Amino acid sequence: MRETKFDTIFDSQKIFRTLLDAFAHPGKVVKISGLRIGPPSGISKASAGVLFTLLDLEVGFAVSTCDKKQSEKIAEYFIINTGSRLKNLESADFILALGELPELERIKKGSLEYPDEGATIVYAVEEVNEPRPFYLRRDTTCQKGRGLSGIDSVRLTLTGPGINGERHLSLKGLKKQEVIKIMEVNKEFPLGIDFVFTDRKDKCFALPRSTRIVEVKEA
Amino acid sequence: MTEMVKGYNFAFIDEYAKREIRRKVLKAVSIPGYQVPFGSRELPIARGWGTGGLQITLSLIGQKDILKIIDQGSDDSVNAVNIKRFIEATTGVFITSDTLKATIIQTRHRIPEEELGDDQILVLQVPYPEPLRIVEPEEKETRRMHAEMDYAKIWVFLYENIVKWKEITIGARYPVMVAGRYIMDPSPIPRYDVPRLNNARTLYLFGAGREKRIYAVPPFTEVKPLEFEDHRFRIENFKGKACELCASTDTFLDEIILDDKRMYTCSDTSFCKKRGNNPRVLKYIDRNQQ
Amino acid sequence: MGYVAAKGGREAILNAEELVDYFRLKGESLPLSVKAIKEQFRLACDKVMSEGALYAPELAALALKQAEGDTIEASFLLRAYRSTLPRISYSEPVDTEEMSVVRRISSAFKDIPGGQILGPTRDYIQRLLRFDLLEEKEKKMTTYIEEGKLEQKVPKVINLLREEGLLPQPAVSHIRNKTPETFALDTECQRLSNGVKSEEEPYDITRYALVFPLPRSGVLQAMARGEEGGMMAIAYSSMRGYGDTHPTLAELRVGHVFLKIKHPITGKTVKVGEVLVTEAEVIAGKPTQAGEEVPQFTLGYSLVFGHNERKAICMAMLDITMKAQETKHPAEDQEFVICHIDSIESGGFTAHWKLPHYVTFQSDLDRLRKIQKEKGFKLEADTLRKK
Repeated sequence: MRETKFDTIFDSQKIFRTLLDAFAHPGKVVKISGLRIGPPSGISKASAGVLFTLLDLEVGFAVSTCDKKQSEKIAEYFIINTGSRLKNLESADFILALGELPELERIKKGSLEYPDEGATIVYAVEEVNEPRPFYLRRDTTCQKGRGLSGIDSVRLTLTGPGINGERHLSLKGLKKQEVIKIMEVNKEFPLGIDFVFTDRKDKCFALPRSTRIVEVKEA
Repeated sequence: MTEMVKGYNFAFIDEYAKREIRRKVLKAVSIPGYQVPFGSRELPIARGWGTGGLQITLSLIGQKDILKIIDQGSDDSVNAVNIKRFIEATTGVFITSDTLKATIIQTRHRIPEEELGDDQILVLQVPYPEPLRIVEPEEKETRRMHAEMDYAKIWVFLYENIVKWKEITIGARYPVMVAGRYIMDPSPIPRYDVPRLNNARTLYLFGAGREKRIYAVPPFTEVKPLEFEDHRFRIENFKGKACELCASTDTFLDEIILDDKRMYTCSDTSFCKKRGNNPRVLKYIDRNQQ
Repeated sequence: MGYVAAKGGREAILNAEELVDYFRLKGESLPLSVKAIKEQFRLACDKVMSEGALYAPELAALALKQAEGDTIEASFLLRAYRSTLPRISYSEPVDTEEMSVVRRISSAFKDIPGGQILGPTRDYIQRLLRFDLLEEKEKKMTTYIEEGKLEQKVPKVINLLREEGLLPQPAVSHIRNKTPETFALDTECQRLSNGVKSEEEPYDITRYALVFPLPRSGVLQAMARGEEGGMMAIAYSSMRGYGDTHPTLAELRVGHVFLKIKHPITGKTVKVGEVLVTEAEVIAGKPTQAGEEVPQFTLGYSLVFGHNERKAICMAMLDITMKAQETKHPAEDQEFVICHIDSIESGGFTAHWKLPHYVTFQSDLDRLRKIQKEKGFKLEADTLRKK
């Protein structure tokens, strides 16, 4: 459980720079690779790496998943490796969400004087992709509904600080309804929640509260 | 090359401090223009001498980074050299004076003349993070003003300036509106550099060590200087002046007083050298103005 | 290019570094021993430890030596060194009633249990220059009385007043053993309560940003690290008229207290060291009343490293003035006081004006020249000089 090969100085530094790049360019897909860690089943190395980089005893975290046993195991893994404290959703600074989005209204959004006290959610989904430019893309209408059977997919169009015009993204493992909840919770900027989406292949992107989702389509 | 000092952590500050600064930097980027409070550490460099910028740089820096540090646009000014010596000694990273080769640029009072890329980060040292301080001394009150977007006082200040002086008296440190939400102090850069913040390709991070605040302007973010319909924002005027060394007429100039005459040279010394070798080297072009 | 100011920096800095050492040692005297500074510049070392926020007498003496006696510079050296030290453990709360007192006085009562102990003070010594010290060759005074008699334990004056109900009971009901876990929990409470910080665990201004209103524990910590001169200026403004505190010094005591920690394995409390501290308790003469409760006096408190009486008294005074309901004067304004007493910050910023500012000044020049022109004045430097 105890990760001895995670370099708290240099691995953290690299992951932080990748995250910073992601937050500065919302929707840009980045990769966190090369980590020599073995997180418990259900979470990717990227999710673990992000939290290793940001958690310590001065902040609290929560794990949001329907599987209570899995949740306990994951929580223990982060307590041992970061010294951070387990909290409930209402008071956590960082939330690792697996499988489903937690109830966003329970999570800290900061105050108008101190909006930075809003939480950060690391949400593990199936797959995140930047669509290829339209001129290289095959006819997307044919693919509709054909994707991986049973897995929800959405396409997002983003705009806001960090984005030159618009940015497009496709996600597997996220429902349209969940995207609408995210739009809802971040509509009172500067109050809000910042998101990092991670996928099974250790790809990630950030969705800070300043980003506006202008279009969401089921793909 | 300075020798690495022994007995200190990579990049001097401990990992807990770095982690806190990193968390705060991400929040700053998520809320452009908003000042995030942080537990600023004491460094072997005096407060007010760039410790905020320095703490950000030390939290960003890795072994593969290439660092440039300038003060007043110059790589060789004593303060820039002093900070370079400190970072070199605690990290061993490469130092460059070439703006285009650096991955991180820490600066005091200037933005380099050349256009910065999207893989570069500019870290600005900030003495006064609070743009409203000129009209309101109390932190409690300025925080409320930002929370409620109650910016009437500073607009009145600017208006009264124009009435009394026919001109706004703020020289450097000209207040800007970021992404239509927060009024921000761009640090004491000249007005000449202010348009560089608007829709830039680069991430700008601001650190105030003494006042314990971090804030950010992400790339492609609207940054507008405060101005009136009938009294537009105006940058410094160097009409008819040229750099004595490279003959540039389109750069920010330092005025130098000699015994018998007055002359001008580029404030960005690295760019000045490039222009000296090749007059056709391009500086940043403001596409928003075209 | 000799005219381009402040460039070719690296060499200049190295030269300056050497020159500093040369000026320190160029006289005929032998280099000062750190031991001599520690022992004979006792009060300067105490000041440096207090303002440098690190109890390390030997390092304070070293810092004073290195800084050629500049206490603000020496405090800065200690502060910067402090940033590199890991925080191994938190100490148990210190009960100052257990203090081994070398000096304690009360101006509130003529006599007090345990008695007035004047101790080593210059208060009643006539300030005449002692020319005999010009040629002090031998130590005339090496033994005074046995240490055991010099340091003793005495009851505290304010406890007597508390028993009588003249002062409120201490606000802290219980103090938990502080571990990183309880500390993080507390931070959590602080975050949740959004600015209104919990008083159960001290707020640590070295870890969290200063936010206002700062809880009293944070205020006291900031003042314990504050610079004597700065604090005295603000406290004095309140004493002489910008405010209406009319305080009485209930007790001022100087002495040693034990530092104890919980043993990480056995969990037992163990002594790990001893520190010299100065404590002052000041009572504001004006009664205050919380709701329908009994009217009582207000207490101002201070505890600082070393023998540091002026600072301790000023700190206790400011603790009272900042409790004012309305802020009418500078000393009553918490943000004003706390933001302006740290010499590492104010000293650093004051020194920073020596850095080049020619870009900003150019920007200001541009504005003034334009304004002169707008207003019909044309005073170009060249034309002036030609006249």
